Amino acid sequence: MFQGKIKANFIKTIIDATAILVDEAKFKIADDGIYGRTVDPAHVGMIDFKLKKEAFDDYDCKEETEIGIDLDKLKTALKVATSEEMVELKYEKEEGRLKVSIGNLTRKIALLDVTEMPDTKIPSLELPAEIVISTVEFHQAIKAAESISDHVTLIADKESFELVAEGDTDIVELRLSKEQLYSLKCEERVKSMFPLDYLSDMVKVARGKSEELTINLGNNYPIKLSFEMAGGYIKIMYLLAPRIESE
Amino acid sequence: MELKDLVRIHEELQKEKRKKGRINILKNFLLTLKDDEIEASINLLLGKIPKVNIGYSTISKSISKNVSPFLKISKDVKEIYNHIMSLKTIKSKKDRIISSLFSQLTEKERIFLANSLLHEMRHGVEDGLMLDAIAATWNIDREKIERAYLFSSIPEIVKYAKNRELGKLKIKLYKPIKPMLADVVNFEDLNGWYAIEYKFDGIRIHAHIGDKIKIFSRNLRDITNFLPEIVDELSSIDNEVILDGEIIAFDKKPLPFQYLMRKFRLKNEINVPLKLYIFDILYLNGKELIDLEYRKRWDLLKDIAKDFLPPHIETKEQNEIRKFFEKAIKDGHEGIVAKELKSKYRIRKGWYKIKKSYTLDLTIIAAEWGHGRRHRWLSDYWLAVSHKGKYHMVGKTFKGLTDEEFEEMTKILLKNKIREEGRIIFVRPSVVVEVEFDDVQKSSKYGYALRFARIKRIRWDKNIEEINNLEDVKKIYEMLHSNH
Repeated sequence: MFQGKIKANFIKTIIDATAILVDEAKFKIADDGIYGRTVDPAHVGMIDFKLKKEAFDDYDCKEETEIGIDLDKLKTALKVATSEEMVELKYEKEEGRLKVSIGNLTRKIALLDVTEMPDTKIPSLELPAEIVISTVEFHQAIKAAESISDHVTLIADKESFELVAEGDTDIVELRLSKEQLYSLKCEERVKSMFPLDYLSDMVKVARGKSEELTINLGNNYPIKLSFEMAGGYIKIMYLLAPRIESE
Repeated sequence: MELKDLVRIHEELQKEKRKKGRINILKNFLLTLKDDEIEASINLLLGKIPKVNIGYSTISKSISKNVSPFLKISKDVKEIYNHIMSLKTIKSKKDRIISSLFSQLTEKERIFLANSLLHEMRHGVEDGLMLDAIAATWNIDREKIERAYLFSSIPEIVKYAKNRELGKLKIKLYKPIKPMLADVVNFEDLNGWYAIEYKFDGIRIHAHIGDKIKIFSRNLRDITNFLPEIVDELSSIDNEVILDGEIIAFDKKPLPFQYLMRKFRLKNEINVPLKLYIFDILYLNGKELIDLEYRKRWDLLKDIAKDFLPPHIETKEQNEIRKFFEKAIKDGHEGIVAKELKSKYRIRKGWYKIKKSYTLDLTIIAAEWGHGRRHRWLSDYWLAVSHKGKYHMVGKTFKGLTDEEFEEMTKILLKNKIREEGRIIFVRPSVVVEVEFDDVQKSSKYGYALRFARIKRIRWDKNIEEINNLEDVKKIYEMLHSNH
C-alpha cells in the first residue's frame, strides 16, 4: 500500500517528463520515494527520475511495489488540478488501481501489467564536460535551431559552450563564455550532434521548472541533461543518444 | 537468416526475368528457412508486413536521420520483424523507432526494408509465383496448394508444406477465407452447363456463423461492426456455417455503390437500406465444402439460406443466358456471373462474369490541378495498371467523382506526393479506382489507351496489389477487336 499528497505541478512534471518518451511506463514505489527509469522504444532517449518522499506531504509506503501506468490517462486525470493544488495519490495492491484525488474529486485509474514491461538499465557514461546553463537561454536556442534544422551540434571547450544548427540556407548559433554560464568544467574540446525533436521535448519539460540545467557532454557520445525541483527532492535526468554523420 | 540475406535474394529476383529462374531462387530461399523464421522472412520479402500504419512520409523522413541508439538491434530477420510489429501497439512518434532502426542498417538494407514496409517490392513476385515455388520445392500438387491458399497465408502454407502436413491445414470458423473471383468473358466464351446469377454492384462478404457472427470483406477485414442489421438477419441461421454473398444498397431497386461506401466511411451515421444475397456455402457443421461441385453446394445452401438466395438459373443455352443478362441489366445490376456447375471453390477457376460495360481497377500515379470550378482540387488523374512490378499509364480522366470525393482524393494524393512538375503532382500509387470505359485503343504514347475513361468508384476496399495489369488490358483489347 502507498499513499501521499503532492503538489500537482510536481507530479505533472514527472508524468510529462516521461510521456515525451513513452506511452506507458513502470514506476517503482519505495519507502523513500518514487523512482522511474524508462527508455523510449527507439532506444534513443532515456529518463531516470527520483521523486523523494520529502517532496510529498504524508508519504507512506508499507511495501515496495511497481506499478504500470498509462501516462495519457494519468495526464488527463491531473489536468483538472491547478499547478499549486494538492493531489492525493493512493494505491492498494488488491484494488489494482491508482486513486487520484483532487479536492473532492477522485478518479481510479486502472494500472497496467508490469510483468510485460522490461527493466531499463541506465548505461554508465564517461562524459568529460559539464555545463550548467540557464534553462531559459538554452530553450530559446533550441527553439531557434528547431526552426531551421532537425539536428543540432553542441560543442564545449575550456572557455566556452556553443550550440550550432545549420539549415538548408540559414545558421543558428549560441555562444556562451565561461562567465555567461553558471559553471563550466571541460578539459578538452568535445563535440556531439543530437536529434532536435528529442532534445527540444526534454528542454521544454525543464523550462519553467528549474532555472539551471546541467548538461554533460562527450565526443560523438550521448548527452546527459539534468535538473532539480522541490529543493532537490525531485531529480530528473535524461540521456539522449547522438546523431551520427551520414556516410 | 539475416536481413542482408533477404536483400541478396531480392536482388537476385530483380535480375532474373525467366519464370523458371525465379522459381529456383525462391526454392533455394524456402529451403534455407527454419520454422521460426518463415513468417518474418516471407512477409518481409513479399512486402506483406501486416498493417503497422506507417506512411510514405514517415519513412522518407526517417531514412536520412542517423542516430546511434543505446541498444543495438541484431540483424536477424526475426528480431527486425518483431521490432516492426511492435509498432502496432505504439500510438505516437513511430518515426523515431523507424529512424533508429534505419540508422543501424546499411543503405541496401534500408531501401529493402522501406519498400517492404510500403508494400512495394518491385521484384514482381506475386502470390501465384510463390505458390509455384512452394509446389516445386516440396514436390506438392499445385492444386493442393491452391486449395490451402484459400484459407491460409503463404507463411502458413510454407510451414505446413515443409513439414509435409499440408493436409492438416483446415478451414476454421472465424478465420477469413479468400473469396472465389470471376474472370471477365464474352458470351461466346461460355460453353457447357452453368449456374447463372446476377453480378451485384455491392460489397462481397463472407459470413461466419456459430456462437457469434463475424463478417469479413473481400480483403479479409472484419467488418462485422459496420453491419449490425446484417448480423441481425443472419442470426436466423442456426447451423455452424460459412457463407459467401454480397451486400448491396437497395431501395426498391439497387442503389449505386456510393451509397454503400458512404455507410462504411461515415461509420453508420447515415441510414442506408441494405439487401443481403447469399450464393455459396463453404463450411457446414465442421465439414469443409469447398471441394464439392457448385451444384451440390447450391443444393445445401437452398435449405440453409433460403431467405437470401439470388435469382439463379441453370442452363447451357446461349439465348437463355442472354435473356437472363438483359433481365439483370433491367433490374439495375451490373451483369451476370456464370458458374460452372462442376466447379470447386477455388480463387479463380470456373466462375466468369459478363458486364454491361468494361471496367478495370487502376491506380493514380499523378494528378493535375483542375481548371475553373475544379481549380482547388487535383482532379485530372493519370491512370495506370501494374506491369512487372512497376506502373504503366493507360489514360487520363477527370470524370466520375463527386465534389466531396475530389476533396478527399486531393488530400490523399498530396499526402503521397513524390515530386511536382508545374501543374502535375506525381504521387506514390496508393488509391484503387474502378474505371469504366467504352473501348481500348492502341496508342503510340501508352501502348494501350482507354477510351472515354471515367471513374466509376473509389475502391477503398481494395489494396494496391489488386489493380489490373497490362495483360488484362491487352485481353480486353483483343476481345473487343478480334473478329468473332
